[in-house]
Amino acid sequence: MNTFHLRVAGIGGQGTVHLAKTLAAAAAASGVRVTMIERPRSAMRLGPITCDLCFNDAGFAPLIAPGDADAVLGMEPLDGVMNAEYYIKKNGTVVLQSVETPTVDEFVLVQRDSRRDEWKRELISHGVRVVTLTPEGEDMAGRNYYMLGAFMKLCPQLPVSVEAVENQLAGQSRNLEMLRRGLKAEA
Amino acid sequence: MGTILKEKTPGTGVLAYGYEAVARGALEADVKVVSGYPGTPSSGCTQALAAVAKEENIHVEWSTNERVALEVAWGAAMDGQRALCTMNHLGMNVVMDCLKYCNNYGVTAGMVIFAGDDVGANTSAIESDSRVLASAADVPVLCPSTPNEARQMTAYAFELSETLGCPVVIRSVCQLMMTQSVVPVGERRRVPHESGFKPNPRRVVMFEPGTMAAVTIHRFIHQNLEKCRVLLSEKQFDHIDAAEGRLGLVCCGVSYSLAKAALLRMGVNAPILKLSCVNPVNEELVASFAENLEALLVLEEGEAFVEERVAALLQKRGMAQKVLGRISRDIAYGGELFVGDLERVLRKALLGESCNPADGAMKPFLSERNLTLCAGCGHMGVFYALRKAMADYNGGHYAAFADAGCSFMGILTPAKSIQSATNMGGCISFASGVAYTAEPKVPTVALCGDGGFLHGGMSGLVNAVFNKANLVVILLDNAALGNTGVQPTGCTGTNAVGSSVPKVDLEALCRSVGVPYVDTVDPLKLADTKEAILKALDAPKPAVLVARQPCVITRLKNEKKAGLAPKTAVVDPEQCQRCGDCGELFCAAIIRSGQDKTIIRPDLCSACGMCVETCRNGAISVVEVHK
Repeated sequence: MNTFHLRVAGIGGQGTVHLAKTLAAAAAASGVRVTMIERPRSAMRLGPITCDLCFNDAGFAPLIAPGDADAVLGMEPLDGVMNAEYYIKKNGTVVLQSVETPTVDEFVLVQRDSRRDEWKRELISHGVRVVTLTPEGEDMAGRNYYMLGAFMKLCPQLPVSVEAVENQLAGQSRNLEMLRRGLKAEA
Repeated sequence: MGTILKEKTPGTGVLAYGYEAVARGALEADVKVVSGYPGTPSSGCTQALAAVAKEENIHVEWSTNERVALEVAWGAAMDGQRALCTMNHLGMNVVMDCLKYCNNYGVTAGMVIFAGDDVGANTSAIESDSRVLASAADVPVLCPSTPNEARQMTAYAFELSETLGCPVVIRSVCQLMMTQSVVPVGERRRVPHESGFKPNPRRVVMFEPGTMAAVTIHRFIHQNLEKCRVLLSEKQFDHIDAAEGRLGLVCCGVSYSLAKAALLRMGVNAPILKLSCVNPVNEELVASFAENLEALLVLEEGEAFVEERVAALLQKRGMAQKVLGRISRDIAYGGELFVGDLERVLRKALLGESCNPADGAMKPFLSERNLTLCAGCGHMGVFYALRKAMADYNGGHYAAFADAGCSFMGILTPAKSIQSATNMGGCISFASGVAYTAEPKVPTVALCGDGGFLHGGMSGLVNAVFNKANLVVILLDNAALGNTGVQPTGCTGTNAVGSSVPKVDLEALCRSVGVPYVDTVDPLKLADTKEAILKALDAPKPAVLVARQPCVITRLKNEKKAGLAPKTAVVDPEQCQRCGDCGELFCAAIIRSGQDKTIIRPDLCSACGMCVETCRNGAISVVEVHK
């Protein structure tokens, strides 16, 4: 079976861990070998967080090595491109949520970090496929699953089926609805 | 959480975190009492057991600090009930006093300490290695290499503890404990134990005739470790993976799994000694592994603990094999081992390929995003009011210190409201030390969370009263240990298993120890808080100001549960003059840009209302969010 390494990068409060746990549970329920490691900086909202999902790896090494991620799902675009810059494979896929949350430096300087665009251009110039999407809906609830749905559509190599993910979201109507909306998203 | 704890059929694989596997191991060993203090990566173990405490009829508690947790577990184990105590690496430093006593006096029923080390300090202020500390207390230490082994080892550790009559430490790290994987469950056993405190007559009262003296007990403990060495050698936790090669890898804990993964990526093989039992080390196994090798490369997370022991052992036996690792500078000190880094180290050691340890090394965290307080956190109000009060009081000259916890966020950019941070609860006594010699005109302030205050800050406050420290103490009472996952404290009103319990009355407690001035304020009310700080500065010392506001995460959850409509602050662009006053809160929900008017992100805002108060133009108001 093909291995697949996915890094999800976001900030506390976006449901990054929830999404990663759902994906891991869907994989395990489908008999796909999976490890999922969460790496929060603190329990607080707005802190950086990454989750690494390794599918069909033979051993136990849950953190993805540099240059070994097949895909990066950036729940915040700066965090997404920074992680992709270092961890994405050549010809990998990066899916970014468009909504920007300022870093402390951006906040203090009252200025947008220009590297947000520079890194993105650099990734594209290296042959990485970068797709940016704006989730539907005003509030944060379900945005994570909109992005997952969109990611699953854009990256069919992910060895987890939509049905398996939907089964894990049974009873979570908002998340299920947003996943389905994401599956219809146009890049 | 906790599905693995409910699985009844042995052999069934369940997706679980490493810390849940430890919890499952404890349940399989029929644990009866669980006590702990939160800290990554151990917190989840206690939380998982708390979630099943009622149906399993076990006692689970968050204790007020790690030492208390250990004392509780020890008491239970002396009463004949198997006990588990959980903490992170910082906690192991806190428990050392009790751990030495515990190992000297012994235990009756099995007692296991789960020490989760945050190697790399992912969510901690400092690194520390629990193997070193446990070893200093002459306590056996086991280090699992996979989640399944964590489960098996924990269950076995209770048996080992009972056989030896001493506590046993399970030491693990984030890379194992914070990972979900499918873990097969084992059989649940019922271990018959008679309840009732039965002191060991030879060990408990040391100075009576016929009992062991301290030196004799110390010798006995070392004999016990020899016995432990024999018992562990009969288990299969340590083993040799034979392969051709002149260089052998000695792997402790998770580094065994990581080394195997790295070798797999490289497509090469090497002899490996998996060493999970690190105190005491299986000397015969190490010697037989080294026999036909030229060098050993020791892979471990934390200090050069195994490396030193292996080197000493080979020297003792007159063996000339080189030992490589951190001491030899083949692996850098500090931080976690990552498979990518290991691959480079192994390429150099096994294949002679050039390798600069710094080149392209894995980065533990890749983010420009510094830690910040949650939008609407009451601490933000205190920091804001403190800066404003001090500016009015003496032009902003003051010395302020916090402890480990959310309060330490005051040290980070951009607010820089405090100068330094200490260990849990340590800021009050630290600030006292500063205050004794500080310029009288420069006020000294300690900012201590409720968790930190109950952890160790209370004794610091008594000391400050006792020694007349010229100090203002601000107790940031958010009724939670926010930084570690919003666990309850004595100020919450509920405990680990959700039972209602009386809240600690901080004001009464402070008065009862002789604090001459105690006041209370809601930190979301900025002017009131500034005023209260100014009053405390002029009050008899040590003065205490309790800034009480529930953790914003708790508040938002409670509001959602109560069905309250979500609210947000909004800026009227007609009124906004871009003066930047609201920006002084450093709230992450407030977005300013060079050209545009300020906006407030409704998805981040918690409608605390603090920014409304900062706006001199009346441009900000709180409204309901319409979906």
